[in-house]
Amino acid sequence: MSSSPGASPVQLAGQVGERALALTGVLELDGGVLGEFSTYGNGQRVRGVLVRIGAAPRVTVRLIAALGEPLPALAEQLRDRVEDVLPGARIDVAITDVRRQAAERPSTGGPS
Amino acid sequence: MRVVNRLVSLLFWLALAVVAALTAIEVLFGLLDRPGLVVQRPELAAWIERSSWSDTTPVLVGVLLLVVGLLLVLGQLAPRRPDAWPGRSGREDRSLAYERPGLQNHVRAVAECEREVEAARVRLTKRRLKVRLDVIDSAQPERVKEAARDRIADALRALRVEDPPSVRVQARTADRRAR
Repeated sequence: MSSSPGASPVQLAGQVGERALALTGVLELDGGVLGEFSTYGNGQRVRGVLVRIGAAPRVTVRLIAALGEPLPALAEQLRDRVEDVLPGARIDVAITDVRRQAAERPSTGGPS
Repeated sequence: MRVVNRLVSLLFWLALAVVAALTAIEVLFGLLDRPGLVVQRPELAAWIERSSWSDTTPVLVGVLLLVVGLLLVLGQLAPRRPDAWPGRSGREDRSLAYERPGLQNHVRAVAECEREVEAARVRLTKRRLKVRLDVIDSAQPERVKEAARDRIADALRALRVEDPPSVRVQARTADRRAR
C-alpha cells in the first residue's frame, strides 16, 4: 500500500508508525520527553514520527528496538517500508534505546 | 547538558515573567496615582539620585551580572557529550543513528553475553566506551576482559557505527570488589 495523494503529514506519519510497529524488532516509537519528535495535525498526534512534505520530503523515525535484533537490518527494513509511504523522501532512522521485549507491546502506531 | 539548559531557561523565563508582571503593575499603579505595590518609587528614585556609579551596591550588582553572564557563556562553550552516533546506511538519502541509551544498552547486553560476566556497566563518551564487568569469582578477569572486548568490538562493527569509540574494559571479581 502506498500513500494516497494529498495525504496530510499526520496521516502519512500514522501510516509510517503502523508500518514501523509491524516490524517484530520495533518495540515502541519514541516521541521524546515532551513529544517534540511527533507529528501533529487535525487534533491527532503520532509519536516518534516526523514527516515533512514539500520540495524536500523527509521522514524521521525514532524507535526503541528489541534487544538482540540486528539493528542495521531492522533500520533497513523500516526504511524500505517507509519508502512505500513516501517515495523519494529522505529517511532518517534513530534507534533511541534497546530493551528486552515485554510480553505485550503497543498495538497501534496510528494517530492518537 | 540539555537538562541544565532547560532548567536555566526556565529560571530565566520565570524571572523575566515576574519582572514583566511587576513592571506592568507598577506602571498601572503609577498611572492611577497610587503608591507602588512592591516598589516604593519615591524612595527608589531618591536612592538612585543619591547613589553614584562608584558606590558599593551598583558595583556589586554590576560584578554579579558580569559573573552570571560569563558563567552562562562559558557553560555553552563547554564541549558536550554527543547524543547520537551515526551508522553507515549505504545511501545518501537514508541515515541511521544510535542514541546514547540505545548504544549503551546494546553494548551492555553484548558484554553480559560473556559466560562469566555477572553484570556490566557501560559509560559512553564521544570517543571512549568504558565497560566495567563484574565477573564470577572463579573467572580469570584478564581472560574475560579480552573476550568481552573482542565481542564488543565485533558488535560495534556489526552496528556499522561510522566513528566507533575506543573500547576500554575493566573486569573484577566479587573478591576484588569487596576489598
